[in-house]
Amino acid sequence: MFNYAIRRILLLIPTLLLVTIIVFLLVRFMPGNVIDLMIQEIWEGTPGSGIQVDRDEIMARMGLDQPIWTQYGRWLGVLPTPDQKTGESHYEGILQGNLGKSLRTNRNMTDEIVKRIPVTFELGLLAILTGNIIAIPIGIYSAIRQDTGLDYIGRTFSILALSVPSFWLATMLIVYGARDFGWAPSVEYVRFSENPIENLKDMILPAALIGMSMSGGTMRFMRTMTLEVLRQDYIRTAWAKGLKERVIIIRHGVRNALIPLISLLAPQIGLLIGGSVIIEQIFVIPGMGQYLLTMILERDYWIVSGMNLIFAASTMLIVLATDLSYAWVDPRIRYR
Amino acid sequence: MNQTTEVAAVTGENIRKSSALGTFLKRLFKEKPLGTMGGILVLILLLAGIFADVIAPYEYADVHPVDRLLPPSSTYILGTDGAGRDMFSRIVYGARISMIVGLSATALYTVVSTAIGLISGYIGGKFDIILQRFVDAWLCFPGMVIYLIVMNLIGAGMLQIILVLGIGSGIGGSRGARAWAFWIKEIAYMDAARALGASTLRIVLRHMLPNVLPMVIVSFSMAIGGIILAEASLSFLGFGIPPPYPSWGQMISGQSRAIMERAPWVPLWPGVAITLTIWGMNMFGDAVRDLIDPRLRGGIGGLGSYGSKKVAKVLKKRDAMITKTRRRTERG
Repeated sequence: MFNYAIRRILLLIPTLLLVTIIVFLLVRFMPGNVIDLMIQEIWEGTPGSGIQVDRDEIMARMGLDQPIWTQYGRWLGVLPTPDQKTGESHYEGILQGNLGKSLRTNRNMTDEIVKRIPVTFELGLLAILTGNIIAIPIGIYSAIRQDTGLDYIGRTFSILALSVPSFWLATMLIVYGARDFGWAPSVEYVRFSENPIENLKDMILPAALIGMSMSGGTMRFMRTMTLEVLRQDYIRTAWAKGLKERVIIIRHGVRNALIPLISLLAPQIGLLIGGSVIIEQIFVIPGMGQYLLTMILERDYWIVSGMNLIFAASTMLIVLATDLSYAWVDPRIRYR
Repeated sequence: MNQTTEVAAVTGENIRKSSALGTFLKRLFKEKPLGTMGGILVLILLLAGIFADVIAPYEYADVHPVDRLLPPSSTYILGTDGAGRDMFSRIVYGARISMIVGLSATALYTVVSTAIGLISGYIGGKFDIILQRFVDAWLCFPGMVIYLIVMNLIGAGMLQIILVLGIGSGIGGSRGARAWAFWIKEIAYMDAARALGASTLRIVLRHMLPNVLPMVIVSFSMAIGGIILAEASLSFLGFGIPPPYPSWGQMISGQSRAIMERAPWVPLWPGVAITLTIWGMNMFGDAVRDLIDPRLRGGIGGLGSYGSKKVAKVLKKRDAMITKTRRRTERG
């Protein structure tokens, strides 16, 4: 187990390196010259700049005249970046904790990004909670009453949860809420530390909408897993011992069926981040997703890269944690 | 191993036979009522997409300035939007867009994932290890974020969205195809092909591909719902199909909030259309998987295994009886 953990953590390093390369190249090597687009948009968008734009000068100022590996090294923070005014060199990359400098203002936006992490984290946590609280019991119930009417209702519901786009449901809630009930989501975001109750009031609906899009998968998975476990020999033994159905289902069945659920967490994270981009936009929540969308639209690509890296790294860590906890929870699994 | 081979061979053969489609439809109809419903929905959408010009009473871009924001009526079955365009016509033309994007992006997804997976799995060794690290790294990125960035860089458009969704999801989907390759590599006829000196390309194309065809079909039918939803989400955010074309996702976001509050049917219908489409695709996809995936549910899966259906029925009856007796004994 210990060796397995060490090996998994070591394997993380090449993958993480590849992730940084993908993040870097994704923005740097795209068709439809990114630099021209950036220059055009940024200089058009700056008021009072009647000055002729010197492409080479901008390229030099951004360090884009350097060979690609130098740029990558500087961005990563293993090569020093020279300061334009003083000429001194500093290491200022991802490794030094700089997630991205704004191309527009040339300011380091790490604080802005870090400030938004807890917001999206809270949204995601609430989404996982609301989604799973509904999905797990329905999945289990569907399995123990297989092929009854209630099972069909549960299954239809799960497929429906997979099929209804959360952005549409959110739009409809806002439209009909405003029309028929005079309700509207609050525009002003209240931090959890300021007023937890107000904060939760605002967050629970968006979280439930993201949770819904995840619950369909969880329900189906839970149903399959419970069915699988209930076919095992030890369940038959439990029946033969004359245990009560409740005891068999909960103590022998569900506890074993819940273990594989851990593995579902990793794909849920992807859905969560994608969902938060859309839902934060609709409900005006100042989280990572909303900022990402704004920065993509403003073509401030260094910040987009930094955030993308956070998303990828957190996904990696969750996958690692999932695999390790799997090994820890389920003693039947052996690792080489 | 032998048994699995046999099932796969039977399945593959049945798919190539012309009567296999009949068998499939018969079983779909008999055993999978929800799958049949999903299939019918998908068929309706396909027809709506193909014959959009005939079905739609107006052009999707026809503006009727006098008839802005009219509720559903006999002239405009589903009402009109903020520019006085007929909602029904736009929904019907939207089906065409969804079908084109859904089918071609999923086809691309299938080609990309199968090619990467089979080759990586067949060659194996160091090549596989290195390639899989790339796939690992790629899977760390949330799909939506990647699609947004790339769509923003290359610009909105139908061809772009097909390429981005197809290739982007195809790389992640290659995991499944890689597992098939490992499974099929061990089968004796592969050794025979190698012994005869067939090239890697020939082995992959002539010997592996036909035998994973059932799985390819299943993976296609399981992926299409998610891809259509991704297109709708991207278009909703303004990164997908550009405005003059009536993409369902874009129709939901394309109007101001004030207009939507006055005329809630404007965002309502496209959402209903998306939900029905994806529901139909998912149900149909599930049924396809249950009926033709040879790896599933022991002998009950696999086309043409008619006998096992009876077995399943008997087993189901027995299970029901056991449960009944159990409850009775518990109560008293």
